Amino acid sequence: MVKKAGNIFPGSTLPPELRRWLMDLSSDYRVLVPSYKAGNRIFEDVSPLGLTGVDLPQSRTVIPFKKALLPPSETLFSFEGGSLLQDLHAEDTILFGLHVCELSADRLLATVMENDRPDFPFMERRRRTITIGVPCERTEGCFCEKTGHDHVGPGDFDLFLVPASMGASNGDLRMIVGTEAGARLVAGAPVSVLEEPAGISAPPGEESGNEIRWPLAALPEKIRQSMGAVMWDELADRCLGCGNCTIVCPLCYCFYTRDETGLDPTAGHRLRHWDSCQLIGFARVAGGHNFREARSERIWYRFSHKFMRMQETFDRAGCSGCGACFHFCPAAIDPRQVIKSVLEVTDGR
Amino acid sequence: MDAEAAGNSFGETRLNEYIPSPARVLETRLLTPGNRHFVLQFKDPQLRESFSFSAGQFVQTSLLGIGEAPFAICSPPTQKGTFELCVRETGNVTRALHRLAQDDTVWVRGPYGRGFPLSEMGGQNLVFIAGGIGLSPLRSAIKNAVCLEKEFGGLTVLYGARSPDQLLFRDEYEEWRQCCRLEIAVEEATPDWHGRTGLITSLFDVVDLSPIDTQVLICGPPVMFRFVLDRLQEIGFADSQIYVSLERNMRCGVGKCEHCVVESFYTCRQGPVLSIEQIRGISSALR
Repeated sequence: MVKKAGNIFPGSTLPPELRRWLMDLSSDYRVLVPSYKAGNRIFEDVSPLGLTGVDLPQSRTVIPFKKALLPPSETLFSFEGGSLLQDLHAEDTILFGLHVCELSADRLLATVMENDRPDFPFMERRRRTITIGVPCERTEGCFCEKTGHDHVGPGDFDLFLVPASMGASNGDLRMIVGTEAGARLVAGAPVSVLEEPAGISAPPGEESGNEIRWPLAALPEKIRQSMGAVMWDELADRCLGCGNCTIVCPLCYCFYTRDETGLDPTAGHRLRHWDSCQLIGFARVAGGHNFREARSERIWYRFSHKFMRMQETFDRAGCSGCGACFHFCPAAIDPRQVIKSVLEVTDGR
Repeated sequence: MDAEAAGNSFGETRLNEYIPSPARVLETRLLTPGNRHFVLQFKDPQLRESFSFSAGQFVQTSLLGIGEAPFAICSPPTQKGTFELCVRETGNVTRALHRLAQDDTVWVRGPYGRGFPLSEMGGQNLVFIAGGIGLSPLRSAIKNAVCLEKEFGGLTVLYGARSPDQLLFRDEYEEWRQCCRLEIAVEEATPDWHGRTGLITSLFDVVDLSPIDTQVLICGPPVMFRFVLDRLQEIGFADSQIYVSLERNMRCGVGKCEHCVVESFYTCRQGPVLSIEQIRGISSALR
């Protein structure tokens, strides 16, 4: 049973004054709010004219917030007649309605993209983005407490609506200010400000006790040891290799680039698109040699990125625990089962 | 406009790594059937001056409307103002590059990755082992070492190609031989071939390699690595004395797109040149 933490928005609808505020903001910002469209929960662009059914605390969106920072397809530059034109599409953006795991994932994603040689388009968008967190009530099949993405500090969000666990009650709209940008924005909001900056924890999940969190620091070595184990072949037998899991993952960010022209081959764009390490051609080089031909290797690769490489490089698991990959997987591959298998096959090693 | 958002935790990023710069094709010629050589010069005089790299690094080279691909620079870092690529025709981008003529424009960004640590190899004997197009990045290192001949001990080049007509940079061998020992083997001899026939490993019987004060620099197809490494290990070379240049699907060059990852490293950042010591235990690195 999911433990209910209490909903500060009865009926999962946005209080009218917040709705009005967001609509007003949408004349100066791109404002994205989780809402329902054709039966799916998505981050929808708010227009000054309105906003359809907003569903704040519950369930996950099909496509995560990353689409605002790393669009599924974007123009890196345009060209015409032998000259090149930089036309980065980045606008001031408000991401409203992020849960703790999403704010935590956003922070890690930005850390990855800023690391070493920063990714300019992503960082330009991130710099212009303000995040507003909302309390979550957990979603079926989510497990942020296992991956360590169940808590954010004040710097990890710009604003956060005070959850019931911190004393908010119905109709009581208070926000925690995380940054200077948040403080400026909240000045015009129909909310009061919680004076003390504070971190926020996700409400507890289905399990309780001290053994809930995965042994994240030990996982890199265990993932490494599990390479080639039969468990990956068994997963490969079930996996369809469709790449859904990477599309819906808030912490998957790989991409490929390609040039697109019209009938005039000298005018067009260099585009980048989301890619997926689960697709067979991901590691193929010109000439046809494929460095990860086997599906089992590609599945291992995905988990090793999340629980080995990102853990070793950033000291954070590359999995927010949102459960989207499992929820949207046609073969119902559950990362909780995968990690359980990794721990079993490396038990005692 | 962005003054509003400023004040979150993120500052401005200065450089857009994905924007290439135009370079002019000064010269191009077919070296062998399928392999074309380019001498390139950045159009921007300032970039021409500031562009520096080390042997073994690569650049992303593109044609607008066609696409982008990574190529090792095959000229030595000591050559200023221009740089060279050797391009094998294998896909869309390389096919289009092969159609270029003098004065055409290509778009280049880089250099990327880590090259051969020649500056740390002073006083050492150097052995270069190249298979096929693998001679391209090694040519940069060979010519670099030849220029700085006095800084190194003996220089040996072992080069294997499929057939005599596939030998790259043939017109330079005489020059290299002034200060290098160059041994060549082809897998399939033609009637006019008077050199050695066999796999590259057959050259180990011709030269007498010693691991003492010697570093080995290797580039070639994945299938070559295992056989060459076996021979080197038999002779007594330590993993720390052997450097390989790896080929992977390097798309962004800056450790973001994830295509070139080998287990725990980015080929485009920690590589493409790595010592065998660095990749010890990473079974997928050398296949």
